[in-house]
Amino acid sequence: MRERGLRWALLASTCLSLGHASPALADVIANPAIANPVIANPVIADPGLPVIVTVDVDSIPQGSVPPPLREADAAAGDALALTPAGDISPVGLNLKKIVSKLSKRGKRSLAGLRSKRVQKDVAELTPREPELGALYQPMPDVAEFIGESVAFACGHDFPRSPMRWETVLVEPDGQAQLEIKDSWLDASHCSVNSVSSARVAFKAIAWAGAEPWLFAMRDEHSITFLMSRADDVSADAMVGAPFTVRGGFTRVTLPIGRWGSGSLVATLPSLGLKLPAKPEKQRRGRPAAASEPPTSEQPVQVAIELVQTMAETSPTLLIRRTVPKVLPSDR
Amino acid sequence: MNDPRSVLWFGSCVILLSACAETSRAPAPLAASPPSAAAGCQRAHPGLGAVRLGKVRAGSSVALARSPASQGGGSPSRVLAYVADADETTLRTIDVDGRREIAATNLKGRPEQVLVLADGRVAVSLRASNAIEVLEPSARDDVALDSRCVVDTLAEPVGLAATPDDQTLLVTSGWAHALTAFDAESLAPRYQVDLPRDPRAVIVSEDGKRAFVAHVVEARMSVVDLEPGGHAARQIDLRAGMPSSEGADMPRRKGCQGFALAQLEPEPNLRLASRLFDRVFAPMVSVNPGDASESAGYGSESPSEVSEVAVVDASAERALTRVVRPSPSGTAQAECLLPRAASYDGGALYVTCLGIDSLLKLDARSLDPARSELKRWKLASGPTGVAIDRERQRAVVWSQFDHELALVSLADDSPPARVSVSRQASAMTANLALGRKLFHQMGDPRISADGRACASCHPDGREDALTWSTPDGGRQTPMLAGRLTDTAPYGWLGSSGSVKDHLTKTFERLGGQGLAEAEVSALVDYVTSLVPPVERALPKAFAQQRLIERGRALFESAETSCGNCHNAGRAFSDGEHHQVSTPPSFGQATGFDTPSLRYVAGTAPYFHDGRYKTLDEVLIAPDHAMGQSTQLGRDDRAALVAYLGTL
Repeated sequence: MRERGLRWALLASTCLSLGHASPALADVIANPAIANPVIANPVIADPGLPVIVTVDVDSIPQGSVPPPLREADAAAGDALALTPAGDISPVGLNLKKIVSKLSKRGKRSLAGLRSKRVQKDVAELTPREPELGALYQPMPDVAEFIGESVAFACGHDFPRSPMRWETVLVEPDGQAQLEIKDSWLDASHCSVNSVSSARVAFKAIAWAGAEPWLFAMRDEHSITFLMSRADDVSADAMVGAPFTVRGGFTRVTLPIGRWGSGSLVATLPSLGLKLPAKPEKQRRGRPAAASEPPTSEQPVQVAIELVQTMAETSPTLLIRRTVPKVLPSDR
Repeated sequence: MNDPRSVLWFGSCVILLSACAETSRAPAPLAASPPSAAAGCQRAHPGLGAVRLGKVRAGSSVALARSPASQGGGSPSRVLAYVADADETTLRTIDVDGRREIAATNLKGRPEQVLVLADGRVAVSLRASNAIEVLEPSARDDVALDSRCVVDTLAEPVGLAATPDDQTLLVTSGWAHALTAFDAESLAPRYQVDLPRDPRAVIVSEDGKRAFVAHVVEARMSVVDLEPGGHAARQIDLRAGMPSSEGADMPRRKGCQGFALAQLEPEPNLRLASRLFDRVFAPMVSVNPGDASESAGYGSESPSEVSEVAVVDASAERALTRVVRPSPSGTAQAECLLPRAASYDGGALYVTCLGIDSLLKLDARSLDPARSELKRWKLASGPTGVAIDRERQRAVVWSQFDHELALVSLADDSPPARVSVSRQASAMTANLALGRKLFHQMGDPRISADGRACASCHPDGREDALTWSTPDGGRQTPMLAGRLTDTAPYGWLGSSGSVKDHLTKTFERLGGQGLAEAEVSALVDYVTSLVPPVERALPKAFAQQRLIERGRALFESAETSCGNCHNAGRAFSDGEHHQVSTPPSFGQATGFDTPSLRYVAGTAPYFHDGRYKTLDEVLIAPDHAMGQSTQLGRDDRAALVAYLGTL
């Protein structure tokens, strides 16, 4: 019963909060029945209907995510004035050489993959602490990254390769900062050279209860969205290609141009942007604890749509969230 | 299911195997005699009677008018609904506020759409009569309208629309695949434009420069220039892709059920930043019939049918909806897979849906409004038309199957008011009425496991222009209307001796549990009563007559041998099996049943697996064993195609 009550409370609060015009949400349609179906239409109690809001694109702050390092620039590495190798604590990552911990079989198979001249080490980078982060190696012409960790081989013959570590900080005022740290993976020294960092401000544009769950930032040609970790993301755009990073959070950039459209659908296990739980140490003889605590939240499908006809001066940004189905027995 | 002959596609009641066989009653060439004008279409008593309500300039099965208040205030102004009762030759007048039927007007044929013209006259498309009838209201609302004239049109007039200056009436002709422009006052024909097959709804852009036309099949929309100096027609591809979990390339799906259109209208109450402009909405169904060469079986692994409303940028003339994304499982309500009418109002799109008998309110700002449902109302069976009364914030919906008009409040959550409309007992028997409901019934596990209806693949009782994957290979959907009489056996392999037998097998193939005996009989009665297109016997130019005669001679000649199997005395079939595939395909042991060639010209693609897009392709193709036509020259092939177009 308590769980049922909680579920209903959660459902009601998210419905109401999404429907409310929060300070950052400019639901621009004047017709309340359209702009705010939750309030105007009690039929929303039918769990089959989605919750829909639109956002004034002009209210989204402008900014830009800096371009990543390019592998082609690594050849001129000496001219890049890299920070000293070895200490990567400013980046907030752990670098761990993992070859020595592999089994004999693992060693043999890894050895088979490498040239004899190469130092037989593999390093793995992971966040030092649980963070809303995404760690990946940018590559040209690749538009989707899954950024849980990065492993790289160490050897004198390997060139440097770029690495990006993105973290999200949700601030007390409900806004969010995306911090981006670019580094070189220096294979010759089996280390990471931090190069630059930047911060980009995002604005909350949708809420679940009192908690913001969707943030956005735009530039001239695209809008970038931040949301919680997604199980899957499917994005499409008419002009240009969407860009997706999935890690402890999800970042999607949708290009937009006049007479164009773009959309994405993502399944979020949880709406809120929360720090992942710290994994518990496994006690001998006991199974490892689940990486996330059990939750009563149900996966939510969210959709974001951008549409602009030739005649429209700005795109329509529509956010749709599917209300979890509540079975009659739950009522 | 183990018997290959039992695994035929539902539509395979009539087989379209043929090569020298593929063509039937051809749509009338536009060069043939144009529609004629009738004298006296103008108003006899200008200014008298009800006038158009609002600025609705697109036809539907229901249209609204306002009756002026009587002089001296004896009776107040009231809203009237004109209902095109397609079961009868009747236009019904409903007092919307009084919620009762007040008059019935006999027409010269069964109506499809009705449109109130600027001067209060009422234009009605008479689909099976190939005509437009124009009527005039009198001072009294409760008497029949006066017929002013009946104007001939090309075959199957369906959609009606008026230009913003109210000078021109546009009519789409389904079977003749054309748009005809008439002078709105005199009904004199102005020009015709040839279109792809099966045009239906038509709307006109706000500036009056272009018309947009829906097409039932092939997921496209036509755009026709209306300005003087040329009336070119272009097509907009509405096909969208569906992302797969594998992240592979997203091939475009196909489409069907393009009956309706609506367009966004400027709304001064919206804030400037969010004003929407130039959007046209095309409710349809996105279809993946499966890869016919792989024979996975009746569609694809992904949902074979997904409801969609394609959003088109009217200025750019291209579809903005590139992706269809099915609703997440557990949250999808019954989808609108048989959309029939649409109207826009206040940021929302209202769509009526057969099969689920509902009116849907969709968010028109969405990239695919079908995914952004705001509300739905369950209505009586067969909602075919909708009209919006903006002043009173209500939708008026006509449900043809149950003969009921629903008044749906858009301002609050009060349940729809229902107005029962009379019907003639002779118009449609109870058995036929039951058969029609069953034919359109979605989500009935007795009919199919995935919820599809007969009408899903046989819109209007015809065909969807698709080739579906089946365990036997690709099977093109055949036309039902007019092709079931004297054409036994049924099924592509001719495995059913009767329509009833074939229906029963079809339910099994689709995973349905089967209908009761009486229901199957009702369905048989309905499908065998479906009205085929009727071509008006227009006088043809001498050269055209010569061409057709030459084609007939070729068809019946030993040189082509077409007539050997497609016997004119047996509905252009012979009821036999023939091995016609080269190389032989699956099912070769028995060959394929000879399909009837009735109406073949309007039922592309051709051959049992839909491999040929045109009749001419069939005639020149070397990879089949039907007749001998590859040796024919271009002129002879044109003659043969012209003849097939008359069948």
